[in-house]
Amino acid sequence: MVPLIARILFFPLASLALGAAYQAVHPEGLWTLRAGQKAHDDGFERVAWTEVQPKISSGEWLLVDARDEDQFAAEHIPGAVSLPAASYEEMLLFFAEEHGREKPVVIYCGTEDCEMSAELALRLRDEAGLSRIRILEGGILAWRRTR
Amino acid sequence: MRTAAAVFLRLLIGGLFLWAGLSKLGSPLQTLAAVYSYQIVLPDLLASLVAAALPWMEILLGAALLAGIWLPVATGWTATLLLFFSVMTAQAWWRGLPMDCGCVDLSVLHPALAALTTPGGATLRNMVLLVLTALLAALARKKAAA
Repeated sequence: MVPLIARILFFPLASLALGAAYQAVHPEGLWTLRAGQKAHDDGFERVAWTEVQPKISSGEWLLVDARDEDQFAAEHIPGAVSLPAASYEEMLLFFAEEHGREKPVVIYCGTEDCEMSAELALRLRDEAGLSRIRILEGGILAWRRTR
Repeated sequence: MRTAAAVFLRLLIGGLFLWAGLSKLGSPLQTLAAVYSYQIVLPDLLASLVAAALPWMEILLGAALLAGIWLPVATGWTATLLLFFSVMTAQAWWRGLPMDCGCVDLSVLHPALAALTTPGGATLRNMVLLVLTALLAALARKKAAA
């Protein structure tokens, strides 16, 4: 007969133990990653919209749309600036001069798996010298889901 | 009649909890994002612990309810979780937070049930489940006393 206190403690303690073990072995487990962020093979952290939104509202981070200008004009996340991934290097340098190289930027494109964000992130790092670059997890879809 | 009602409630609540827990297992980051989306000030470590443990708590409680074991404790914890969820979703609703509650999506059963993932819909759903859990606890206690 299991004592009552043991039964009461079983659920939370077993949940914590199972949760910790599962996260340790899961390929996207929380213990292998910084909480709320995701490191990809391209070296750029992914951040969830829920973390990005307050930082954009406060002006702490800059939101960048990597899609082409027509897509930006049709719809974009409020507060984002357009900087297509295919921009000339001069445009990237101008962007860096205008906004500064130390300001954190978050880049998004159209879908969960689009590559324009990573492409622009690489170019901003290698060609324009920006260092604090993140990519919005889920792209513009993540924002649309919250509307 | 009471026994049938208790079995029905066990299967309903236990099944929902088991489904909710299993659906969260494959996407730990989404679960963590859902925790953050309630915009409650939480240290990162605590948020991660909640995101890690919550699916398993739901699975264990769901399994206990379905199997009909340790019912007083299982219904007690289920009610506690539902009360907590109700408070969380209610405050998100009151604050007008644009968020995904992280709840199981019931729209696979019927498209109209997608509304139950909004803060208001989730609050209503959690409160209904809380009442049903209390009823199950009462039925289980009566059966144990008989």
